[in-house]
Amino acid sequence: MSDPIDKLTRLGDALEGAPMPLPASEIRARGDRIRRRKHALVAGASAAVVAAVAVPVVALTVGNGSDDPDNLAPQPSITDPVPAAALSVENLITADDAAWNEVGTEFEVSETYPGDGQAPPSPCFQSSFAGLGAETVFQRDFRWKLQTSGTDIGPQLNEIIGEFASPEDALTAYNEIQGWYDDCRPPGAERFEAGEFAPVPIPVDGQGAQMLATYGPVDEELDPFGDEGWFLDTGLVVSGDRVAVVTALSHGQDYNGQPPPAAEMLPAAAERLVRGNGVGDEPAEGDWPTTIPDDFPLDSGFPTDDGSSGFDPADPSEDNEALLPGGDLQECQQIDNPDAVDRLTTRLTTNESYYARELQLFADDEEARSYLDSIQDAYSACEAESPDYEVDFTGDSPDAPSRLDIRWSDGAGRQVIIVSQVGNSVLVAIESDESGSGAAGDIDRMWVGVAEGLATLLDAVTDLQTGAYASPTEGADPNLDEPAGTTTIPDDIPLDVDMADMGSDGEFHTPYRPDATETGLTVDLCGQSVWPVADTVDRLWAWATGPEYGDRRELVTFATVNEAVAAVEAIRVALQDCSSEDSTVWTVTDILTGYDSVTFSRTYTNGLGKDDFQATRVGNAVLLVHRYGEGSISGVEEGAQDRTDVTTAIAPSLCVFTVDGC
Amino acid sequence: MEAHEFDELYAASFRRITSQVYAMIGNLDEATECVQEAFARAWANRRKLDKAEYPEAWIRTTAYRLAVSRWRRVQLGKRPTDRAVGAATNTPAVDESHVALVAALRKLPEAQRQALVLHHIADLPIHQIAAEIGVPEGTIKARLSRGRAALAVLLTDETNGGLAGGMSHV
Repeated sequence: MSDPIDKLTRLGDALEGAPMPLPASEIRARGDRIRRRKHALVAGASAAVVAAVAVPVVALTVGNGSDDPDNLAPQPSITDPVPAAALSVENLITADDAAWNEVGTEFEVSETYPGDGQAPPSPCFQSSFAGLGAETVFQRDFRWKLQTSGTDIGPQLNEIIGEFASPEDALTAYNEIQGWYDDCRPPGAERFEAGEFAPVPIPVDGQGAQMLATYGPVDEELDPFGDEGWFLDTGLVVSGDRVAVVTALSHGQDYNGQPPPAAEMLPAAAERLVRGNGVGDEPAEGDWPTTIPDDFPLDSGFPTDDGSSGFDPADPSEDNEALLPGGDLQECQQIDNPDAVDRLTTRLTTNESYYARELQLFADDEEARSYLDSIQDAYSACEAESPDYEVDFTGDSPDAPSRLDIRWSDGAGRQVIIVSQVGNSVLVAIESDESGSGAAGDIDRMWVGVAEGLATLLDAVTDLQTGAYASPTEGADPNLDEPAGTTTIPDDIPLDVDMADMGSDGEFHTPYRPDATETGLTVDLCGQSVWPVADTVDRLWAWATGPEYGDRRELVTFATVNEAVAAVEAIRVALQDCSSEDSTVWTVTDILTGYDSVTFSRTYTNGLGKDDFQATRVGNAVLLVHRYGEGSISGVEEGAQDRTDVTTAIAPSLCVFTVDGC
Repeated sequence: MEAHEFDELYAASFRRITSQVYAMIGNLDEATECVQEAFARAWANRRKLDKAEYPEAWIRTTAYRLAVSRWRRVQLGKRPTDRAVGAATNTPAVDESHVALVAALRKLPEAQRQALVLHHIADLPIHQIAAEIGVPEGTIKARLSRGRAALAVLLTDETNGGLAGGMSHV
């Protein structure tokens, strides 16, 4: 028998070489979220929220069309960069902010949506905002109101905003986006000339920068004489953990946007990014929220039903008995019966624990504060009578949240109550059990658990105060695991666009649905098959061959978008681990198609021959285009451009596979 | 601690700490999730981590406590409230002999198991284990002695048709 200690020692190496389950960046992002929530709860980072609701904020003078730097300088009274509410569409610029020749007159909002769009907001984007690490993203597209030509839609304008896990992550993204413009090559462009991003003063803490780039040629349809260029005007803002990118795209012989619109819009974009539209104004009399939505997630974070007989929930409802008459609040001293304008109460009893929460709205913030004071007085009386109580009040200043922490532990049981006042709302959260332990560490652990569990809920309460609250089902991202709306490939997809016919020297097949036995494209990357993909729903196939020539296009659909995402991702992952095998070399080319694409080529070290591949996902469909020829590794970029031309010619017809179109 | 320093610590010690916590608790997926969560908390408290003499020990202790805390909650029939980072992990299986060893370790009293793991897997000196756990060095020595003896017996039983599942020739 081997020495057990040797075995023990070797166990320490048991996982050496095993893959890391998550990259360090994700771990840090989680850590930043923990820290932010703790800060928000314990140190009162919600101060900005309450300030926004209850305290006058100095009005800003920005975006008035003047390019006088003094007008754009940060106002000294605005020192708090903490956004007033969760990122929402309220943080996007509006048509009133949109500028070309005259602010607020030439654009109207075309579309506003959560998340990254199907197409990137700028031809220089190399990743989605989500891919950069943004946790929340919104985009707004504008339409030029003065369109005079049927074919020319006029200047194009959009803004994308994102909230990242931390200010450090936002700054990293801000810098990375600027880097994209250094080596940008928009689809179809033969030239791209970019300057340096120049600083732009913004009226909030953070950084702003703008840059004008040009590229061409312009499509013949728009520029029949070939003497125009595209003007790509880009403005960036980073403030706290948020980033905004404003993109204005136009074409012409000379640039006539003076000053560049992005620079003009940037101060407004920065202000919106941080403070939202109207957020920050003191609520007028009667502006306090008066109704709690029925679907308000008051019981979020409660334990889920474990099937035990002791699991007894009372779902959030105003019909549930309120906490005070229900005896949930200890009255060492009488607590004034609150005169709330609306109330939602929920409880949960499990085998071991008891949970209760109540959200009440009052006529104004003073009444809300009065209720909190009454609870504080009652428990302070308890604290005076018994050492088992500990009562802490924080945030007793005009611009800080009011919060009461009550902890009780007597060795046989423990209870934590956290009372939070935000504007005219008071949230009471109670958790108790009979753990049989009165150790200080245990009550601290319970307190931290209750506090952390309230973070998301307090965000929702804040949103309710600022009018930014959205129903959990409203505006939610589509469920990409749900069956896709369209899985049957229309017959008119131009799969054979620009496919050469070699006549009698080869074969030429216009698009058709092959039967199951006909093999289409096959791609094996270092022994791993990534094409064909199993479980496709429909398939269209077109191909042509000739001497040293092969051009194949295959389109497949999946039952869900996520299956299509996985198919493309599987190719990317396989390529990461496969740069060469025997005499075969695999090369990945970083080229933009405007869609979710991966482009790669196969060449050989012992002879000529080159296969260029490009896989592109549009909704729940994946298009794989391939070209074979007598090439070498020196021609992969040219091949990638050729396949991109094919993809971009076919892809617009695939928008039928997306929920909202492209 | 800067991000790159944290990333280096994570890359260098994640697998090591996970195998140690795995040996302590006997569940690899659970160990992986708890170590991930411990690293996230370490980053959240990086100032505290900067002051720690042994950051790896801080993370290991946090992960172990998380695991114990989860186990207790499961025993209470409650859903864990400390969410691990991301989706549930799917950690590759470890060598069968390691599974047998961990199964044997799980039969030891918690204190002996912890001492054995920290000394023989984490390679910590006795005085450091004593500091980490908060007990006298003599107690650690006694736990190690009893733990080694018990483990030897358990692994002998295993060879005779026990945990390793080999055919008994008796």
